[in-house]
Amino acid sequence: MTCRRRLAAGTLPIREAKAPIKRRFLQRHVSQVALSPSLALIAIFLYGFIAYTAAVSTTNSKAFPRFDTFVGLEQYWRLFHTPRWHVAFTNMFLFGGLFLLVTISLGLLIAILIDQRIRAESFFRSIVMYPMAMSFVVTGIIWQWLLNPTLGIEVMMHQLGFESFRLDWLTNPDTVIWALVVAAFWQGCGLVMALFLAGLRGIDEDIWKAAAVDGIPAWRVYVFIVIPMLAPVFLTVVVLLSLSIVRAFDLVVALTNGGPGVSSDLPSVFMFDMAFRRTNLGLSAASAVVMLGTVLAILIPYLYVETRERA
Amino acid sequence: MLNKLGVLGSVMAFALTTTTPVYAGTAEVIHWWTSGGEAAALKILVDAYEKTGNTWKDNPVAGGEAARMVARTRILGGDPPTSMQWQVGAPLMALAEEGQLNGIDEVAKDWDKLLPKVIADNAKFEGKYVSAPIDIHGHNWLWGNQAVLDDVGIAMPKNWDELIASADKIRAKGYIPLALGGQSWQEIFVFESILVDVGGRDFLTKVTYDLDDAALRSPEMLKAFQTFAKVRDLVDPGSPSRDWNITGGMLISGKAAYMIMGDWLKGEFVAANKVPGKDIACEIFPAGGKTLVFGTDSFAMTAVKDPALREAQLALAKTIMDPVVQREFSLRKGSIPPRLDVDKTGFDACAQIAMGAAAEGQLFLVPDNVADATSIGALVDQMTTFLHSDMTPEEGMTAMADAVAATR
Repeated sequence: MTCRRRLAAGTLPIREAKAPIKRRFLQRHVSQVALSPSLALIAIFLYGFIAYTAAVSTTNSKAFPRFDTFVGLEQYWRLFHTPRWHVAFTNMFLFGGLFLLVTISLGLLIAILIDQRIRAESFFRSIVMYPMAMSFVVTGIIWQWLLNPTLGIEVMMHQLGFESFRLDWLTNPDTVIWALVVAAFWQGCGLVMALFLAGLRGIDEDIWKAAAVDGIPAWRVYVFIVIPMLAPVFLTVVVLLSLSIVRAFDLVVALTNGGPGVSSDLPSVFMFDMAFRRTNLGLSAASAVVMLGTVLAILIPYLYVETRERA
Repeated sequence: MLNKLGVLGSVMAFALTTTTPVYAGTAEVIHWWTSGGEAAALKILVDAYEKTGNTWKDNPVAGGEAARMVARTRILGGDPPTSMQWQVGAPLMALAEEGQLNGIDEVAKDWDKLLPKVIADNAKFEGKYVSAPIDIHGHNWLWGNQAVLDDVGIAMPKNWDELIASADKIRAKGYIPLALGGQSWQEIFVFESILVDVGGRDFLTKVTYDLDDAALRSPEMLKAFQTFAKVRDLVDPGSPSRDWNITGGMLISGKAAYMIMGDWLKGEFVAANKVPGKDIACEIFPAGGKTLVFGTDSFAMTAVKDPALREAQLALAKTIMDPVVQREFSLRKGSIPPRLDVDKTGFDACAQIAMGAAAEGQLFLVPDNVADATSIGALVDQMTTFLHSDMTPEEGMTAMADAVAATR
């Protein structure tokens, strides 16, 4: 952009001066003009409705939003005295942490293995990538059947003779979060693998040659040279996975429906339940605002660091 | 546009009928009856309605929640359907209070005499009927696989003590005592029947309608939790999160001896060629509780102004309350008719028990349709949390009472 403007100013000063003012305005502000419709839409449908939700959260709205029932911060007090909310809120971090850890480490490992110039690479790549084509609802139902102790893997192992085999993740409130992690990993691993693989392929071959000359073992090259070089990929992966953690809703609904009890509830499920099953829009809006606040609390320091590094 | 359609519809309806109709209009109806038995039952209503010279414009939406959301959105947008399936009680009152429903007293003058009082009271707003009830589904039914019971050598239990006492014998023969789908909406049927068992109908009222703090912390409540804790041992490890129809299959196939579930389960028996009341024994549970927890589907009449639509609404209400329609509808749906004067012959043994209970005033409207949704929701959340944990009855009781108190 700057380059082109300098060119116009330097080589064609006469034409520039003769151009109508209107056109010059358009030329200078073409990006703003092009962006403004979407900016307006975002302003209304994103920020406008965030403000609307925040406003609803200060009312005692039931089935319909009603602003004549202002109650201040009472819904927030209620929210934090709801045991189910605490379960859901803790679960988001538990599920999120485990999911990030498992998916990133195993996704990277698979990418590294596939990167070894193996035979039939595209075959293996496809196998890992295929689950991504499934929606979370299908993923949830598949894993619900597999992990069900009376008709899934456990029964199969018993029939094979391993009578003491137990796999009750789905029916045990303490371990059900692992069932969510496994299903989410199965679905999300392909994308992570693909991103890391692209990153690995972007690493200069000369680095490997230099390391080979110095006689450094491959694992050390990965740990101390290649993986640090993948930092931007890590960032992308973390952002993408974090989004899917906060959004996670369909997976829970299909896999456990929040059960056993309410032990696998997530804030998004809680929010939906309060709004549409319990017809309590006020409380539901309060939970949405708290969710947004949590995301911002994580995102703002990250953005701050990001922008400072770039500058 | 809508008016024009309505007029056009009535003209067409008029042209198509040979008899002179009293009313003629088109009723657009939103409902969520899409599965086999439901659709067959609905056809009875639709055919009877069209015989009156009116036209039924079908607008089915799969799933109750989705259907209610569509209806609500249409109402908010100022384009309400003529009528929609809605539950009597609090959900209906919420709409009526917003001024979104029409009274239908022109055709409902004698309904008070025909309907059980609890249904009449909950279908009326400020003394006027705003909805026409079409079925009654009971919730606290105990079903027993007769072949399993015979094999074990026991009769249907009359109360929770007897049921729990029989569990060891059932297990000794290799059966699961209680088939339970571990989802909160299924578990609440079990919990409600325990509440009736420990404190009768009055106690159920205090706990689930009033959500009374003293009742929630009473000795009866502790006893209910002690019984409820024993349910953990009556079920199989696959119970948590299991769907109701798969759970029903365990009862039907003879893997499990008992199941507590609403009478819509009968549809599964019929599909498996089992006769309710013979192959599968039934009982309102606990037997001496004189309480049948029930839900009623009705068709709510929206606040339309157009006289043609209004006439269509009145004709619809009249058709729904027609004794033949009520009978034929429930025979197909597996429910019982709200009208008390309907001929009982042809109904299965379990439906006849339910009709007797309705006539004797044992109906108890499901708390979801009476109590504050958030408070009863908190109770349900704590009920299911307790069942899937190793909390002691004392801890469970306190947690429930605290959670309910926080919603006020």
